[in-house]
Amino acid sequence: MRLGLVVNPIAGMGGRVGLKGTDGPELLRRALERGATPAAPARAARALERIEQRLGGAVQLLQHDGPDSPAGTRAAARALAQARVDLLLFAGGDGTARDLLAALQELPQEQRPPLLGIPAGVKMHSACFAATPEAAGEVAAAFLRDGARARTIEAEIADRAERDNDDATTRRRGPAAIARHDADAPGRHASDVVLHGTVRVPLAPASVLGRKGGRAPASDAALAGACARIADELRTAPPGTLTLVGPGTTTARVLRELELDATPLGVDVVRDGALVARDASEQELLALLDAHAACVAAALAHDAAAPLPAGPRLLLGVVGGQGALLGRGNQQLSPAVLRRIPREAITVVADRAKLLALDPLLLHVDTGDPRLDQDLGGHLRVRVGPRESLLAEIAA
Amino acid sequence: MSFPRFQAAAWDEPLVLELGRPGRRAQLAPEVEDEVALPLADLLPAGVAREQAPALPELSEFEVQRHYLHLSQMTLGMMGVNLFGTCTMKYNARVNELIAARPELAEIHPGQPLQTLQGVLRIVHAFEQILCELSGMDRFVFQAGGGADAAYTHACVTRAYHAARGELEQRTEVITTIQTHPCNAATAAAAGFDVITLPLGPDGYPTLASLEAAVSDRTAALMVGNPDDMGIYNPEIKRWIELVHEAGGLAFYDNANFNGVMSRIRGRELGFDACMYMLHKTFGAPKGGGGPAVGAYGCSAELEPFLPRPLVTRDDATGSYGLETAAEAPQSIGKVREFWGNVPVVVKAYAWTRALGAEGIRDAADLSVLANNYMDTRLAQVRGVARSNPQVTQHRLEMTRWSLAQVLEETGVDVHDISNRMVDYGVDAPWLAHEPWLVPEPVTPEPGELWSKEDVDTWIDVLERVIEEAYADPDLVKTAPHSHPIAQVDASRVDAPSQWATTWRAAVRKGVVPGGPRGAAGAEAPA
Repeated sequence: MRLGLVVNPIAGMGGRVGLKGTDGPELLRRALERGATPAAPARAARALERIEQRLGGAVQLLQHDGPDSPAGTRAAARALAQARVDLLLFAGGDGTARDLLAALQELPQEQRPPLLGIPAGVKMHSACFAATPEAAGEVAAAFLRDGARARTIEAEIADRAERDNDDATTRRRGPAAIARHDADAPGRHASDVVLHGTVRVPLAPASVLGRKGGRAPASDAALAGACARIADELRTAPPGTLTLVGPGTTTARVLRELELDATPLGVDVVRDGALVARDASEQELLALLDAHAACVAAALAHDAAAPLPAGPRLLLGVVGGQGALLGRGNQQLSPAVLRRIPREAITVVADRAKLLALDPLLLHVDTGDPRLDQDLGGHLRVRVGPRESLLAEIAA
Repeated sequence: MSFPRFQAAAWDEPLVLELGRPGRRAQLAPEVEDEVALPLADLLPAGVAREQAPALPELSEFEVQRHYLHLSQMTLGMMGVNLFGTCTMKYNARVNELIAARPELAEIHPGQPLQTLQGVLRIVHAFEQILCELSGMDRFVFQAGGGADAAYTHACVTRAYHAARGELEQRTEVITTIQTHPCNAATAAAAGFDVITLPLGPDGYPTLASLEAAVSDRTAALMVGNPDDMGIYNPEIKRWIELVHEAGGLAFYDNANFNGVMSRIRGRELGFDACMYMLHKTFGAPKGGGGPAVGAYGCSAELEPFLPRPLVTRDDATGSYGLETAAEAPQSIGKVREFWGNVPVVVKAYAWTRALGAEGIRDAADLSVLANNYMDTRLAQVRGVARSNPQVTQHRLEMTRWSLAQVLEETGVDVHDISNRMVDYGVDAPWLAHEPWLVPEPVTPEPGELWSKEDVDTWIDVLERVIEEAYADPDLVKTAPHSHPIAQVDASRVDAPSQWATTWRAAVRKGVVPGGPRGAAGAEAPA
């Protein structure tokens, strides 16, 4: 059993500081300026720990020394493929997956090892990533253990169009930019997410996330009704209620109902019908929550059966095709932020068909803190119509 | 193996409004004698009289007959092999039609004095006893005009029940499951409840844990079907109902798929407070075309005060039948439909149950499950055909949903193409699925107790043949049907309101047909 490992040390660094990627030296520089720290190595370690638990010393790990550029990643992939690894495991995001794909495509088909991603990017569109680092470890271990019996399926490597643009600028272009840049958008243009090719990945439907879906529903009257009703609930929330609104076009629709101009790819904060923060970073969110410390304390202490007091609330959408709730494109909602919001104060809204396309209907949280992920686990009502919720399970 | 050959007639038949000439007519009725004639003004209020004659086609009786005969020759007419799943297709015996058409039934009116309605009241009462026996419930009402109407009746009964207990403010939620017919969620929402839908678990039905997560002191009712349209029976259903009852909610059994469990399962014994049967499906009365239907709604004695009225009553002392009206039942939800519902359908269903008897009903249930298990065994061997929820090992009941996703993937031929091609063999187009479309490329055959082994074999042979064709010559299937007067309808118009025309006037107004009616009497302008 030979396992190849590539870790892109800078992958995902932009997430918690409000950037949508860390592709290219400019975004990396800005991420470092905002205080970003490398996350991918620790996530790779979590996956490896799980593999170690399952397979012990039976697995031989081949790691290519620290690729620090796309060219380095490609060289690493080539070297590991030539070393005939049974599985090429990597920690990174779509950019890393693209680089690996490019390297594998230079090799004859039979020399390309199957690929599996430990999710460490900001918002992953490719279908090669496991739900969490631990899930990546499980899938990799099962695949290596099954040897010749293990099956693979074809998975698409995709990336947002124009990644090298300064996406902070495009984010601020307002609603017109939503259709171009958010694959959640109904009626989105086909070029929003670019397919770069396919790789083979281990077959494990419950653990590997599908490609981020963007199919427009036939009718979204139900979703429109759900958004309107949630907007109503925001309007009638107790005075002083702080509502954190996660990224996505569905949550943006709720804000539009309130005649607020949402940041489609960022986290906004609403209080008493007005935006008190736009496109907030983790630090800004924490500052706001700490300014409302008494409310936070009351909310965390309240009896789950009683109506919610004026504590912090969180409104989230679901990433279509993947079922990702936290940890994909919303890393600003860090464990420290989430620990200040009671679970029952989280409202999730999504298109019914988009949810039902998830098979099984599992939502994934990958906050970076495995204990918090466990605490968030269990069943959760996802609002799909003005009067309908679909009960989903958050995979712990 | 021989396959049925079929070729529909292809008449170039105009619409009836394009036929005829001014002045053509059918029989002339004799003039009314003066002694019995009444002035029109005495019979009709002035407001309903037309100022102009309507624009109707003028044809001879023979031309009308020929026109409709031609149309009928161009359709398959549901007389092929029709395993229309979820619909429980049954032969509607001619004798039952003749009974319902007898003047003693066809010519009566529910407003007549009760002493002149004793015969029909007796039938309704007797049939109520039969359904109480089959379900274990205490009362039935036949007012609802279909299954969804009965589900709505339950949502209203739920509202009235909790209101009577002073808990309506608190109990705002109805729980259902993703494979329960969507009319349950829709009618609960229409009645003002918030709906929580449970997804499927690994065994093909929702997990007990998901129900536990959904149930609370806000639960008003559980509305659930069992088995579902995949044929999967939830064996934990008793525990489900206990959980809902412990929380103070009601449990409603959508018995749409009763056929496979008739006389084997009583809803009341499982703990359900109320249930629904579709007389136009399970109980052998005709259905389709939006025609008269009955959703028979049954409930426990505890819910009886809330039922729609009138209810048929029997005075045991005199043996006479009567009606308990809304005035005598202050907690009744009121009417969901006029009078007592579609009584001719009740009479046909009564005739069906009496013809079968208790043993016959059990045989019918067992045969329908046996036939489906036979189909399961054969279909599982057909290339590209996969059972829904393939991990579930329990036997399916009276139907199974299948997926042809592999055929689509390997040939580009989808389930609509296959459906279109099957009718070339004189087999009715199969039922695919209703919302939600969880199974990709679905097809849901249901053999029931009617279809013979030969018919079931023919249906499977045809499906197998069409799939072989999909692999060998996909274009042949994608361009089907080939033996019908109309091959494929441009479905894009379905989403184009400017192209809809459900009436002649709309067709003229929207320019779908040229000009106005030929030979139509009157000068009524298209509006």
